[in-house]
Amino acid sequence: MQVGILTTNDGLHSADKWALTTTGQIMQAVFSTAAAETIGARKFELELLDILAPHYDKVQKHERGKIEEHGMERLSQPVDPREHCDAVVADIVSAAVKIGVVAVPDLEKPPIHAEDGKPVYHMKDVDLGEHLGRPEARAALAGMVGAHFASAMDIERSWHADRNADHPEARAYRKARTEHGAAHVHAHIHRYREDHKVA
Amino acid sequence: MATTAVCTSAKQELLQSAACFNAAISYTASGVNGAFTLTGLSSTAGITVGMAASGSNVAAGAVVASIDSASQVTLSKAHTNTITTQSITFTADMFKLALVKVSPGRTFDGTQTNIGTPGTGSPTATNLGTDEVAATGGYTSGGLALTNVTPTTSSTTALTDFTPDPSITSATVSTTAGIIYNNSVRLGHANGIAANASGSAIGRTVSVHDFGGTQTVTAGTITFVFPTPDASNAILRVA
Repeated sequence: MQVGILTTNDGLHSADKWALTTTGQIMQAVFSTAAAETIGARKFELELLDILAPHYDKVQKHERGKIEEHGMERLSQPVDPREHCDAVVADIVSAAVKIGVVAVPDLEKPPIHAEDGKPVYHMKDVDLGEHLGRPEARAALAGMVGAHFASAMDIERSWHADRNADHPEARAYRKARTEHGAAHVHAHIHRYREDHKVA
Repeated sequence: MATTAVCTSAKQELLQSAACFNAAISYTASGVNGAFTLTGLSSTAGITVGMAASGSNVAAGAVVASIDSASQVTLSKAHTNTITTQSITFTADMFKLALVKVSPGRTFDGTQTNIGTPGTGSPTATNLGTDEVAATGGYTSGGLALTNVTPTTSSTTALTDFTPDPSITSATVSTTAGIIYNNSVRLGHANGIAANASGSAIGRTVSVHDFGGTQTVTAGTITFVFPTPDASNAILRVA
């Protein structure tokens, strides 16, 4: 239940920073702590970083483009990252297929012995591509990545509102986001428009 | 500093049906002017008794009083006019993340029961008080609204999450911990749960999260990244 903190001075989080954050979560979900230190896991981790950064860059640029296209109206549209998820999940699964079988500690068997207080386990082979290609694994990946994509999209909108802080729609947006959360701005912003005299 | 923990009072409240983490969900429905029932819902999945209902001609403050069938619910207040196949949104409890300042006077932990009046008063188990981050630099007193994700299960563990991760932009903020609390009125201030300063049991704390030191941002972005929503890491889990 540890909350991670992402901070960036003087602007938005970079695509690389988001990629690092999401990579950490995916690794945590796919590998046990012991397995995350194996060579196969390390290779996959590096692949994830390379895959995710350009996708984040694309999501951020796409959102900026939509803000440019729709202006303040974009602030009241639902934050929906789904259109970006299939491509990134496909890339992650492809990387897993490329890496193939990885040897990971078999935690279902008792440890062989302990070195420096750390247990040493028997190893077992896991086909990473097969493991992550399962529908439930794909859905879980889409959920994790989509959640962070949504956050990145929300941050783009919030900065746009900050840059136009005196605009009535931005004030209504800020109020709705503060009171109801980023995902529900679209459902509640109308309540605040009257307060802020938005036509 | 703080000690990361689920608040003991929140565990008690779970057993009192005093918290609902469901995601908001919308269905089209119809209703007669002055009636309490909503009919013609395509489903009642994701709806829990006590969830707030909103939409055109739904009375302010109406909540789900009962689920009558797979396509009908009854609200607590009569409709203000006819509802003709309109979208009705059902919303569960509102959770927020309040931030704790640098060098707080109190060490927050699982004994916290209420958020009280953030920014005002002495910090106690029932009040974040003056230990809240000041309401400047992009931070609003009371904290950041969270977006519920309907609880799910993984093996024998039930878990929930909040998505997207809450952020402050144009932020100049320093903080050391966060407190998640339930800002909805679902529980009277009896049953051993301390009331807040205004006498009603809103602002009931759910969990305390230490940030591992002072987290500072200047004219930038701070995002509170909730952990992987699985049986081992999710922000809130019942094993």
